[in-house]
Amino acid sequence: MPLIHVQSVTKQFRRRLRREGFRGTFANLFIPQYEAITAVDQVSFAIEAGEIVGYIGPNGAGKSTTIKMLSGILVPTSGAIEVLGLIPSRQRKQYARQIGAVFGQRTSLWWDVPVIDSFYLLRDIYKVPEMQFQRNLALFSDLLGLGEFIHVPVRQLSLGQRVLADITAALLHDPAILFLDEPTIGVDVVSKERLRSFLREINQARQVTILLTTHDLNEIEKLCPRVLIIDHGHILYDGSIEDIRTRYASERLLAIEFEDAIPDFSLEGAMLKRSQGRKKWFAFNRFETSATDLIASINLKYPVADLTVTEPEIEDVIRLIYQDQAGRMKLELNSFSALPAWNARLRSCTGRSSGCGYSITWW
Amino acid sequence: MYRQEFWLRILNNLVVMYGAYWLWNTLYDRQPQIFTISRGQMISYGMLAMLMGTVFYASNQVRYYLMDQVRTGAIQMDLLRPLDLLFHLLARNSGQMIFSVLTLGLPGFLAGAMFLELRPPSSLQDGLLFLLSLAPAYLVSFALNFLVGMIAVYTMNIQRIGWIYYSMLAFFSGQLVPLWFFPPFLAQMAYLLPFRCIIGIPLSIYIGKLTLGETLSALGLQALWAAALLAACQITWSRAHARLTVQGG
Repeated sequence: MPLIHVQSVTKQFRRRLRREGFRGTFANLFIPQYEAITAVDQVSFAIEAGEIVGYIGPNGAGKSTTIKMLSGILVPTSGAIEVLGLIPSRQRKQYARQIGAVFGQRTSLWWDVPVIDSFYLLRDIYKVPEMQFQRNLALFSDLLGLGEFIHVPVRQLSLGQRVLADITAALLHDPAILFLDEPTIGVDVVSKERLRSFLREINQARQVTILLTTHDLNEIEKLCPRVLIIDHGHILYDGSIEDIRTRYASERLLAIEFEDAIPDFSLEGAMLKRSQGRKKWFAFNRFETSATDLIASINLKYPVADLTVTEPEIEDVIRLIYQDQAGRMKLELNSFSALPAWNARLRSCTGRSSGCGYSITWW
Repeated sequence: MYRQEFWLRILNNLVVMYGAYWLWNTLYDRQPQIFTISRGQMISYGMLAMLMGTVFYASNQVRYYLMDQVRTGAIQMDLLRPLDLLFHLLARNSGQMIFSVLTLGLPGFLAGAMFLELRPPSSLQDGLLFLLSLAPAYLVSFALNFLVGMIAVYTMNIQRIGWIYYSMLAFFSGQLVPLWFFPPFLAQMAYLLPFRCIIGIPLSIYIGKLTLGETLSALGLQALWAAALLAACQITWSRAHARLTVQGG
């Protein structure tokens, strides 16, 4: 039995329909109409103890709703959730002692009191033994660098500081599972790195299972061996980041700048995508053709001045998955024309070859 | 609470209590025969009813809190804790209530006794039973506010419903007019509703209107209402939980 077990869970909300105009307003008063919004639709997955799983999806995809159901805050409309052998929403009190949750856009700390006082309050609420509390506090404030602001009232903290304090607060009672909903909001690059190694540390040293949502795919790529992609309430993908690349973007792009302008030529195992001045771009499948072979065979024919091999950015691949509506996923997307961001990049790659290459480019 | 606020609220209490004093005194002068109790009893009842009304105002915090938490979505943080929502709010509000008794109730009582002919309870026994009856009175007030607050889970806004609750309370609790002055139909209604547990019953005990037997059965009724309403709170919450929406992300 996995630690977290989610079986065809659906969550629907009722939203009041507001009709327009004078008659509509009048009708709203007497005969309210509602529409059902399905935030999470027949979602199933299982997470084993000790995993770090990234949960990603575009805005409004149902990520937060899932996390809230998993932490017992919301009750599923249908389906079954079982975590640590408990039903979160029904055995909420007992369950809450064993989990920690951080919602980046909301604080769990008391607004007007110093951070440390909130920690003392949580110690009492969760009945954390003094020894364990002091040990955890010392460790976390050291790892996350809370020392500078632990005596400052929460309302005076910056967003990033507050998130770090919130993460500490969620871990003081040694939970078995940590849910993180957008934990990197407002966190600077240094703290982000610190946070990442901290999460890795508590995952490995304490076997804390972590489920986190974020829009920062860089974060996911560095931290989570496994990702779940959700959109429109459906799970689109469940597997490793590496598999996403191989499944959805197996093409690489070879950009070559020749010594002289030369006519277009064809190459076995690669396709000429574009040609401009002394530069040419070839697309090739990374599982069928090796870059070295390609380069060698080109080098035999023409003198090469410069070259770069580009892999699709994980951002581009994920964007492609988001853009492709739920349920209509194509399993093979081996054409660059299906990658709009890539085409945009191709167009922007003019002039010197060093201007477009392996570097990380953000749109 | 700021210093000025403290004094202003005591002053406010005194003004309202003086209003009750003047009203019942005047009525007693005109038609003493319609009162089945003495002038002193009536004046004490009238003034204490006003005072208790403002002291019990603290239990309104429960429904304001619930409405705010649901409307802003902050309720999710309450639910993240290993605490029962009902007892969490009861603990939170008990503190506010004790504060209200100490900073409004006691000073108001002392001021009334010094300046406005507010009489001590009819006997030591009645005084103690009165204090005892305040506990279930508070629980009933808390539970009713919790139930009104639960409506926020469905409608998000309970401002207007709060006003209706407030006027029902003022009228049917016996705060404005003692229930024994009500015409039969309204009296019947008031006796079936729980509101009189909050003000009417404790004050009837205070002024010595009830015999010991009546007092004990009134206390039993209060306890029954308190238990029933708290149970209703728990059931209502477990149903509302399934319908809860966390607003704002």
